[in-house]
Amino acid sequence: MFRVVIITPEKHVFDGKARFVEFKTIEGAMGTLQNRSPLLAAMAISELELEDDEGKRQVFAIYGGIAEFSNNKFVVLSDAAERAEEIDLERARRALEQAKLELEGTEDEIHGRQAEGNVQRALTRLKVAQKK
Amino acid sequence: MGRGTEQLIKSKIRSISSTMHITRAMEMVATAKLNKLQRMVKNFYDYEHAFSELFSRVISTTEEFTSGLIYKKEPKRTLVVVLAGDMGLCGSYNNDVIDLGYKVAHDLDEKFAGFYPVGARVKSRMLFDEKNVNRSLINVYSTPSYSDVQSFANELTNIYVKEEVDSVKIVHGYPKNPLIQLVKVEEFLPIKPVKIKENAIYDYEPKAEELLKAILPQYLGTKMYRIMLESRVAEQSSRQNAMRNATENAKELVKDLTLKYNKARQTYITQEIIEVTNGSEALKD
Repeated sequence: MFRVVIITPEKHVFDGKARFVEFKTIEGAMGTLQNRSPLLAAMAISELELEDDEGKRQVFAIYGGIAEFSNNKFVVLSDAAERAEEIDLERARRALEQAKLELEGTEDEIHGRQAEGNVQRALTRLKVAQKK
Repeated sequence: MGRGTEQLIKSKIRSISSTMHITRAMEMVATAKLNKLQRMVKNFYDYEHAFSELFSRVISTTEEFTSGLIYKKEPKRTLVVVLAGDMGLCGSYNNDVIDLGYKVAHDLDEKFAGFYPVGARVKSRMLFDEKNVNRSLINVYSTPSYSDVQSFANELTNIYVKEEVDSVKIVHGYPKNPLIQLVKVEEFLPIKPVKIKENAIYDYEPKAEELLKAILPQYLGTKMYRIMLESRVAEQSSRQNAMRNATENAKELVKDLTLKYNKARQTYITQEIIEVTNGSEALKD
């Protein structure tokens, strides 16, 4: 069992014990149990799944950021993160449509990358929302 | 003296009390906003503390990391971001910030590359002083959300990356304590890394250099959010103090005027009585 903390600049999203965490770095999927060697990872815009101390699965949407595992404490610092229960499925669907339209409409590089990010976020939200 | 003076004083009292109502209401609004901000700041400091620790850990392990964003040589063209409020009625807060901004620009001399005002008050004063303002960010009335702040930080980074300037300084207010607000200058770009001694051996995913590159925008966003929150807290506490003083002053004025009003009324009554008694005395003879 180890402690998991998910913080964003605006709120504490999660702070509790977990048996297992599964997440995605920008290189690929990872998972960790307790007593892992220290780790620093750049998070992808993706879902994070953990099994809490009662054996219940909890799913979060993480929008990038950095994660650290040391001394049996797993800290995720992200621009934004949401619990699956907080996501409105219908709104997530609409946001995805919107983001896709925007991506098709932009041509310059910087906005294009931003729009890509938005699509990625919307996709993640939708995926996480469906898991709740 | 007649009824006229009394009426005059009475209308003054009425006008001052209604102003007092307004200033008191504004003080309460500022207090409520401040409370909300302080909760946000508390949570954010947890985040910032953890993040900056991680950041210096990562930057300390990367020896040969090169990025345009990291400090290399003495900058030659500096953009000065002056960050204050969109609204007035907060004492000298806005002007203190702007004055320091002007001073910084003056001290930079040839290295000064332009102002970037944030806040309607800053922009309007700079236009009044006939400064050259190409970009500005105004009407951020409510507390900015993190994603807005991140895009503002990205915009500054873009200006820097396109080599319009090679340094960005931010002038902003911060709260020393609830009664005193100060103004300071902060280097936003380039980043001057603080190296720490690192003993623990970490696994990096991806490797440290790439990891650092991935979190640089987040680092700048975090820094900017702290600046924004601090300056917002300073503004609101400054407004709270200004409005509290205004309410106190109004109370004092009403007290003085009420005394004056009662005196005037008493003088008038006394005078009338004297006139009546004099009249009746004269009739007696």
